[in-house]
Amino acid sequence: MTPAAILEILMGVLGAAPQLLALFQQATAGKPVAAADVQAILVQYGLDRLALVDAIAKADPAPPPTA
Amino acid sequence: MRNALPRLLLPLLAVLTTSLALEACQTTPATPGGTTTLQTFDALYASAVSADDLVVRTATQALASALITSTQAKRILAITDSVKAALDAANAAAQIGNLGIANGNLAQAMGPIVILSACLTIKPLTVSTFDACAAKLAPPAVQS
Repeated sequence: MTPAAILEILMGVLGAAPQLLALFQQATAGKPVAAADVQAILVQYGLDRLALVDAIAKADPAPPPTA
Repeated sequence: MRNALPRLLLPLLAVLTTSLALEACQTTPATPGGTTTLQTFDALYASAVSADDLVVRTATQALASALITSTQAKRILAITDSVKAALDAANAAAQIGNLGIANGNLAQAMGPIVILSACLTIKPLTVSTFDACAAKLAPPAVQS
């Protein structure tokens, strides 16, 4: 594993963690989350899921050409 | 870099703990001393979806860096999809006031997320270390 690869993973992990903590703090404080915020999280989830599907498609070997 | 795993896992474990606190809140609605009392499900649902999203993002980066295989990534995708389904079922149950089903599905969903987070941040992350770590990983059983 190269340092660049480690760094890339950590950037993703550390970049998202504060957002998660903030949401958790809202939950434990009993503060409701705005519907728009929940919607934004769901939209982001959908985008990130598509990115994973795309990465899987790129990593999979191409099927043999049909004659 | 050594702090990465705790920084990822602490929020996830916190969410898991909160789900258990929510269960307690069914019979104990408030604590006079001002300690943590969960009053809404929306924030918890949002936190859990964000945690699931975090796993998806980390998996994408790990695959792009060739630290895991596409087969492993497909398995992660399948698990995170089932986690999301469990979270959606939990949220739907909460909206109609069925906190028992909501809590059950939430608790079911958090286990695989915590395991996947640990497996994706294991050092060194390789195809074999991920396989060994995720050997007992199973999708959540959704209650309805």
